[in-house]
Amino acid sequence: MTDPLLPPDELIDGHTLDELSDYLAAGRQPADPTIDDSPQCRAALTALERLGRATQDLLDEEAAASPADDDWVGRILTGIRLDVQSGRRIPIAHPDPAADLALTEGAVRALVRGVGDDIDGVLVGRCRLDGDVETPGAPVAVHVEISVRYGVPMTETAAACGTRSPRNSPGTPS
Amino acid sequence: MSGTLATDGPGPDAGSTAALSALILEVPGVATLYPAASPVGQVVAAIGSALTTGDAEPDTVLVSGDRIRVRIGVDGVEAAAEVCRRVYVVVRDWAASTGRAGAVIDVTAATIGG
Repeated sequence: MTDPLLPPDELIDGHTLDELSDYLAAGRQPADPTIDDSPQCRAALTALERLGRATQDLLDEEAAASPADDDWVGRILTGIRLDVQSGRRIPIAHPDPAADLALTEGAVRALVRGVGDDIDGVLVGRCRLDGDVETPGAPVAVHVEISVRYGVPMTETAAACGTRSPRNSPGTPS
Repeated sequence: MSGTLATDGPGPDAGSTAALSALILEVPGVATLYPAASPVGQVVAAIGSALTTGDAEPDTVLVSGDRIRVRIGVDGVEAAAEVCRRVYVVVRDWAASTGRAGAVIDVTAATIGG
């Protein structure tokens, strides 16, 4: 599941996922500016919080009384690590040539991840933007890999992910 | 998080650039400001700042020659692109008022919501 556009680096802006997880568990105290001031680390913390809630929900349900599958959690963690990397710059159109405006690819991936995770029974594994995102107007395909909680209808839920894409969300890049 | 970084050229006075940071944070849709310098630049600036003022706060706005760089987090409520355009207008006006009219203004949204 290697994404050629992402670096193989195990670190997220200098931190491992374990370090970020520990920081989260400690209530983000004492404050660490190398984490708090890093958009990549903050996106990872947000995703880890959602993963924590989702796994807790699973454990709370009788249908999933056994602990969450380690491989599954590992895949989700790998996805988080890869998705929060800044990636490419996605330009924002502006008539003034002195305006160099952009979104980071990581910000968009995290937005898509958040939208997916907000759907009941869904946890996003990976999000990938395929295409030349650095060229305005170029076709871009958004690939989202999701896990669906046992008992939740998969087809309808996957369809809901498609229609609840960032296009339909307030933070939509446009 | 506050403060600014001037890496070369006639550095703006701290008050004016700190004011720019404050103005950016007042733009609707802006949730936070991230340090705009590269990690190496941040370390260099932090050391320099600590040596001269004793303050090692991370810098948020990078003013380097004819380029002004801002890295923001948007709140996820308003369209991210529109927030970047609003920030651009604020920075452009600040640049004009400080003798930097025509500077390239780089505004990057590094996080959306969350």
